[in-house]
Amino acid sequence: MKKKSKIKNKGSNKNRKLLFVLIIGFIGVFGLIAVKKINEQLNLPCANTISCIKDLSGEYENDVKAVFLGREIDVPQNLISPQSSLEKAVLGKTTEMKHIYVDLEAQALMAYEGRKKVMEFPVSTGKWGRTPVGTFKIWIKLVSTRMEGGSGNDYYNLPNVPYTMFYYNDDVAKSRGFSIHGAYWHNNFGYTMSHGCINMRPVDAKTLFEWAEPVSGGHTTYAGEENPGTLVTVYGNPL
Amino acid sequence: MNLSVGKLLLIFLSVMIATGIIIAFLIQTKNKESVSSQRSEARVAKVVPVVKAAEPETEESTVLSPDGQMSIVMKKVTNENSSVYVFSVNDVETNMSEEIYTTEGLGEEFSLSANSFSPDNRYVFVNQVASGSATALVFRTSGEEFGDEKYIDVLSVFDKKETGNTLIKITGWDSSTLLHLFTENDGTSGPSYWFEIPSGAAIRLNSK
Repeated sequence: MKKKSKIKNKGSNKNRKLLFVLIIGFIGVFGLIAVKKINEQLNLPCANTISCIKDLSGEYENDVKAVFLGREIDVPQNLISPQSSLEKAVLGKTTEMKHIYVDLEAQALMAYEGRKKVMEFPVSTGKWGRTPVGTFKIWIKLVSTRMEGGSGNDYYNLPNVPYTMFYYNDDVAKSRGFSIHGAYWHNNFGYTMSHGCINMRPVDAKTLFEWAEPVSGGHTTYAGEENPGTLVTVYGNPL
Repeated sequence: MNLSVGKLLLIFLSVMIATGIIIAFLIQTKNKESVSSQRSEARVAKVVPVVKAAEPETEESTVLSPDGQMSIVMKKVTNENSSVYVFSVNDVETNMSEEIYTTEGLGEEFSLSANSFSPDNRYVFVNQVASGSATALVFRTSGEEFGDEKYIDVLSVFDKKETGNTLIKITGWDSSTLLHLFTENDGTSGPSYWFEIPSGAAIRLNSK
């Protein structure tokens, strides 16, 4: 009898040890996944991995060079009209709610006043980085800014990016620096070409910048309760 | 038969009258036919349209550079048997115009792309379809030539590279000197290329 109970005890000890190892294993695996997820949330990449949103002065830089696709390029002059930086520009005065829609499949941006489409432009969205979908709100408008990111052949450093409107929502924080802006370094609109932002022809970006809210005043304009930002809805999948 | 002079005279007069009636009838009939013929001719003249030389049709399309400072204008003048294309580049601010290319376009169709201008406005391309093949002709906006050539024919240069892929579309400019080309291979989507201006180098891309 004693021998039998000893054998039984040995068996249950083995089972306990196995159960303990399994529990520890599960905790370890789930713990690692949880830590990875939290880390991802805390370190989500910016649209422009190096510059993010460092400089919010909105000021134009003189005598500078740009780098795109690893090559040095000239920065065009006269991209920014003096009116945009100094005067309050309000294009399209309306009582209707303004809303910007970006169709990733069509690579097109539509501007609405209420239910009426008032503008449509070709755009270039994320190719090297994903353009997040969802509904966002413009929180700051910069007449000019610098964007830097990528690496190797894909490195870029672009001063005087014209007519930038940063947007955010609960899932995509302001600090990640997603925006709609003019792009002077390519002319391949209608096809994906960005690191996650929404690129527009500078001439179209200026028109949209002056139409969208907050109403511009100076080099930098923050949205607020009295001057709220226009909603931006991004949808679809790029082809 | 003894006919009196009076009877002979009567017969003669009767014949003369009968002949006169017949002649008068014949003349009237002829006149009627003549009038009818004239009326008919008049009707025909109304039906037949006046054939005029067809006036040439003119179509015009314009594309603005991305910074809004230049534009390219394509004028297509279509005559009965051919079309003449005239391309000119304009400075929006000064309104100065430079004609960069004129062609009769025999068996060719030209069109403008929304992405025609290079980002720095130094080059501009126009789409051409000839014999079912698509290409782009690249010009300097200044009107200067590439060596001895007025333009660079992208398809002609690309085909000489013998990549094994067929050029199907030129989408626009990835940078100031790089055109983005789409290709296909045996009916399926092929790799994309950069086509460098003015060297004509074709650089295969890993992404679309």
